Amino acid sequence: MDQNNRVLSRIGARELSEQELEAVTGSFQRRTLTPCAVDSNKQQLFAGDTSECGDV
Amino acid sequence: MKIIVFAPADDNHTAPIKWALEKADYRVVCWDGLGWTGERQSSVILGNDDIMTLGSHTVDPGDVVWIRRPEPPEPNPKTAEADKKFASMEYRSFYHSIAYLLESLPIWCINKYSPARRMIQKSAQLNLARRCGLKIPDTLMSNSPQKVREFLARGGHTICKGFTPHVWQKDGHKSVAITETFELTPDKLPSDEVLTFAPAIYQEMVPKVFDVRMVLMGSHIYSYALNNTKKALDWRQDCGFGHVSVDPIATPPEVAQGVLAFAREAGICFGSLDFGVDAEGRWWFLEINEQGQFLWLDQFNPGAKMLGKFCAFVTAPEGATAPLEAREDIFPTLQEYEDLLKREQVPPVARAFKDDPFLSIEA
Repeated sequence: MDQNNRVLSRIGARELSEQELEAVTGSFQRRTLTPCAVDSNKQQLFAGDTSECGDV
Repeated sequence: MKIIVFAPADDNHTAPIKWALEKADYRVVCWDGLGWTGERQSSVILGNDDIMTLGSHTVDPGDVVWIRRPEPPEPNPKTAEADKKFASMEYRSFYHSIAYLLESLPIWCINKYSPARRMIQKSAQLNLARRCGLKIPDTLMSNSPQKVREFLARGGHTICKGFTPHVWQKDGHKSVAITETFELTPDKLPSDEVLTFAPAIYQEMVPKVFDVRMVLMGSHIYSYALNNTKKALDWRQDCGFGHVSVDPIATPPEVAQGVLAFAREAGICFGSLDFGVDAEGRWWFLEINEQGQFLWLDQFNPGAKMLGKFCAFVTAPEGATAPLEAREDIFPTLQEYEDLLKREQVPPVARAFKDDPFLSIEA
């Protein structure tokens, strides 16, 4: 993949390992309510502060 | 009076709030949003009396409608391929007709759709916040390489952030990359062309000592200091890892005044606001999410009682000014709900996206 054509937000994005994701969603359910959790199973922003971005 | 929630019943804020309201004998119904299946169907009759039905429920005078997080409109998948684009647009238009009409019915919307849609725009937020007397960082929103370079050349520290969150998953792996605010220096600027790939928000870095998450409920303001042991620029991921502490903090009178003016001007009654507080104690408005997350404050600090406050808020008359604390204890707590959740005595909470717009797969 050509890494020279990535958007700036991807260049500055925070990398989260599988272990880090598990730490959030696997062992400590409470953190899934936080504003920007990622679900390790569904690989998605887990109900974070995303509604402001949608067109619904 | 009933409370109608525009969200799936298993949305992670809807589920405990519906449970708590029902425990206090309030009637709550959920509507997932417009769709082709029976419970997602809707009708609007316009005549001498306007009548709106959402699934099997009628919107009645005195109802409270909390537009939490409805699913996107969902047309029938059996629609002919040649008609799908049209059907999709019709579903979207009808949903907008429903949402905007709610504002004209004798009900209370949290929040009204028009101001909510305006206030999700970052530029409109910052502009209004400044006009209401709140301190905001100098900001550039742009896809012009020249303007970006000029902004960074002004000196000082600059951060970059997106308009929307996003997750990139590496194909075949579970690891991800997730957008967050990051510092951008002139020497780290990519080529001009890259700056045109996606517009972004470039902002004077607030010299913050700590962050504040504020929750607005009508005329009530609740502020919590967020101290991040990792001292990261963006606290949200560290919050997920438990590196953030949540402590109540008094809202400075001039900030409270500005926020209430903001809410009044915007036409919203509910929202989660983010501030950065610098060493001189100045509160810098960063953004507002009109349906942002707020129950996590209870998880980090049970004394916050956000669940009880929100239930007290939506069951009080619109515009009521009586302290929510006076009624918050008639509702059970989030901790009680989570105990039941652990024992599987309430349904699991999981919001499943059908087509997650915030996720991309990369090689």
